[in-house]
This record gives sequence, C-alpha cells and structure tokens, in this order.
Amino acid sequence: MKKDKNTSDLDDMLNKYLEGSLTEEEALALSNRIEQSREVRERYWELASIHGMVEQTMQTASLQATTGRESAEPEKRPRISGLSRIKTGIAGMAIGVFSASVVWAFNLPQDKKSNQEVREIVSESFEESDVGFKGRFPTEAGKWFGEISSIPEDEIISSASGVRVAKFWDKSKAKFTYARYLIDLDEYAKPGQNQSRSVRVEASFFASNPDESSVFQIRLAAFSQEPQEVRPIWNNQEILFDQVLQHVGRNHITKPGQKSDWQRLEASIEIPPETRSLVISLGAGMVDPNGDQSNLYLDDIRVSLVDSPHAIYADNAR
Amino acid sequence: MSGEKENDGPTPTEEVQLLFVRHENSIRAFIRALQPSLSDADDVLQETFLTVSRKASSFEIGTNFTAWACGIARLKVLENFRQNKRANVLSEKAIIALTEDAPSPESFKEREQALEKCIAKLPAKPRDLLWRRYSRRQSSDEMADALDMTSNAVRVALSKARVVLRDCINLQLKETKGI
Repeated sequence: MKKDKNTSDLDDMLNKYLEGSLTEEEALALSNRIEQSREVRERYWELASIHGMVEQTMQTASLQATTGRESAEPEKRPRISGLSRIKTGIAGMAIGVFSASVVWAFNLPQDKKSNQEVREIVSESFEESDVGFKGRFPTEAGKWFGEISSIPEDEIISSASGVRVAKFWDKSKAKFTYARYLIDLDEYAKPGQNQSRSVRVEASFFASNPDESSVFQIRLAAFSQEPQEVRPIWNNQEILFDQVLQHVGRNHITKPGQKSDWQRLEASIEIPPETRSLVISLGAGMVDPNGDQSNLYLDDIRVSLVDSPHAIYADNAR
Repeated sequence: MSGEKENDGPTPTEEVQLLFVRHENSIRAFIRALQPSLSDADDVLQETFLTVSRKASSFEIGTNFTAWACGIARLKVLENFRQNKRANVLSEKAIIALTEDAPSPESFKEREQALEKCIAKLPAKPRDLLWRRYSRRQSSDEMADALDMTSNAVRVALSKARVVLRDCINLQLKETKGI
C-alpha cells in the first residue's frame, strides 16, 4: 500500500514537471529522487516518453478519425489569380545559427510588422520553356540553377502561378533534389541607419503521389563574400560553417494519404550588416527511400526584402 | 544548409540532413522527454539539427543515425538547461542521471508503436485533451476556457490520460514480449 502511495506521489510530481507546474521545492525533491534511484529514472522515462511521443503519434494516428478534426497542417494554397495572396503558416522546423534568430523565426514581433518596408525582389514561376538550369549551385547571382526543368501544367499538375511549373529531376529516392538562387545584396539599396533587414522567401511545393510522404525544404544562408566566391565555400565542408554568417531553414514533411495539393512554405532570414550574398536553396525528396516514386514540383517563388525600424531580434535575444 | 561536391552525389551534410528528416520524430520525442517545455524542445531540436549538419562528416553512413543524433541532442539539452536555469526545473545532476539511463532509440520506437494503439483506445474526452495540448499546443487555461473546465481539472485530466497511456503501453509491450 505504502509503495502504491509513493508511486502515485511520484506520478503526480512527474506529471506536474511535464506540465511545468512544479514549485521550486517540489523540483528539488524530484531532482533528489531522480538522482538517487534508478527505479525513479525508469518511471520518469516511461511517463516522459509519452510527453515526447504523443504529438507526432496523434498526427500519424489520423486525428480526423479519432477526433473528427483536421490536424495542424500547413494551410493549402488555393489556385489564385492576380496578386491576391494568402499568408500561410507552416508546420516545419526553423534553424538558426544564432539562437536569437531561432526565436525570431518563430516570434516575429507583431507590433513591428506595420512599420516594415517590404519589397519583392524575385518572383519566379518558371514560365520560360527554353531556360536551362544547369549546375547544382549558382555560379552567378540572379539566375536559378539546379536539378529542375520547366514543364507546362497538365492533367497531373496544375500550376500554382502562371501556366508552367518546375519539376525536380527524378533521382534516387534516397536523395534530395535542389533548385538554388544567389542574391547579390549590393544590387539593392542598403537599409536605413535605424533599420535592420531580413529576407523572406516563399515557395510552393507539390508531390504527385499522395500515398508517400515527401519532404520539402527551404534553406537560406548569408555570406560576406561576393556571389562568385560562394560556390567554393559551399562545396568545402571544412570551411562552410565557419564562413556562413547566418543560416535559417525549414523542413516540411507531407503526410501520406492526404490529397495532393500545393504546400506553401515560407522562411525568413535576418541579414547581418556585412552580408553580400544570400543563398536560397529549395529542396525536395522522399521520406521513405523504399516507397513508391513521387514526382516533385516547385512553383510561385517570391523573395522579398523586409526592412524593419530596428533590430528585429533585439527584444528576443536570449 | 548543405555543402556539396560539384555535380556529384550528395555530400555528408546532405545525407545526414535527409536522415535527420527521416528520423526526426524519434529525435524530437527523445528531446521532449528530457525537455518538457515544448518551445525549449523546439529550440534544442533546431540546435541539434545544426550540430548534426556541422558534424556530418564524422557520421559513418550505415551506423545507427538515431543513436548518434540523440547523443548530440543529449548534450544540447544539457546546454539548454545550463543557459536557461529556472527555479522549477530539475537539477543538472538529475538531468545528467536521466540522460545516462535514457532508453535506446529502438525502445522509443517500440513504445511509439504501442502508443498509437493505446491512443486509439482512449475515450474521446482525454483524447481530445491530448490533442489540444500536444497538437494545438493549448495551455491549460485555454483548454479550460474552451471546455468549460477549471485549469486544475484540465491538468488532472491530462495527468490521468498520460498515466493511462503509460500503463497501456507497458501492458502492450509485456504482451508483445510474452512476459
């Protein structure tokens, strides 16, 4: 009986810890018990692993079947015309070289948005049929490079914008395929003295096979070097991460069994003042290398300079 | 981000990034078990991804990626605890002790499979609470407002749901292993 009471008390404390509602004294007491007893540690893992696993598991277990609700998906982008755009959220992952940029990536302060100056500098929907995209990495700024071809929309794929889309080349399912672009920031006026600059990239991705899980990726990287100097750095594992000034990325994984539709992804990167070149890398691949093939497409890419009144992450830096 | 050899196959960075995406659920679950705050866990996951990318060339393709990545995640969790010391969290000693006794990635996988079945067995109400808490990331207060409950009642119900799931998983695993 005593053991049951102890176990139940321990469960209560563990649950309070998982909910973030332990008092300081309780945290100390629980810490002592964990430090001293392997049994308590096992008990911790049994309960805490549920806390760790339940989010993903609920999603894969089909929420619609279990609760009748839709899951927290990226919003699907409907076919649109003209310039009316729908801002969408994404259930992806943001990566930043500096922790402050990670915070910013998730929590762009709302009150500063109204004072932002936004200027679209790239809009690409692959409408030209005779453009080649040779090379995996740009050798110059202002052109798309990569493993893609421009194709007309057809009965399998309707474009997200215009009448053509980019199709990622069929490759081994064990690999990502990329489309990449380099921006030379010297081509644009610098932000004002009291402004900080970020670059926002939006792109639409599509997978033809809804029964297989696909992964889409936006990665952005800022370098101080001029555009022609970035490629050898990108190619050299030894120096790449020493040279990159800032690095942000988002991954989105589609869920098998959902209707094929364009997925709109967005990522933003804070531009350090010394930045000269910005790499935009858009990737697509299959999650299961043994699954059935899916054709992967890219369309309607928009890149904008966003100048804000002062350092975006000044309030969020930790 | 990925480094690459010109016009060649994937680089180690690209390969480990793809492996990371494939095994992200297990890595995320491991981190969240040690780092209950969802936002802290997200930060640690991001830091882990970056470090995995940086150390890509030291990963031997064909070996256990999840174990390697969780090893890195473990260090990132500890770093995070040191950087964000709060009064109501576990001591560093306790966290170190927990990481030393962490279940293997394979055992996480087993538990994850059992969890899926156990969630399906839950009554609608606790399942809804779990969905709000974990998928929608609603706070106890938000859930209480939405469901006409008190915040405390929400916390108690969530705790019960987790305990029910734990017991169900343990039972499932015992049955599977014929214990």
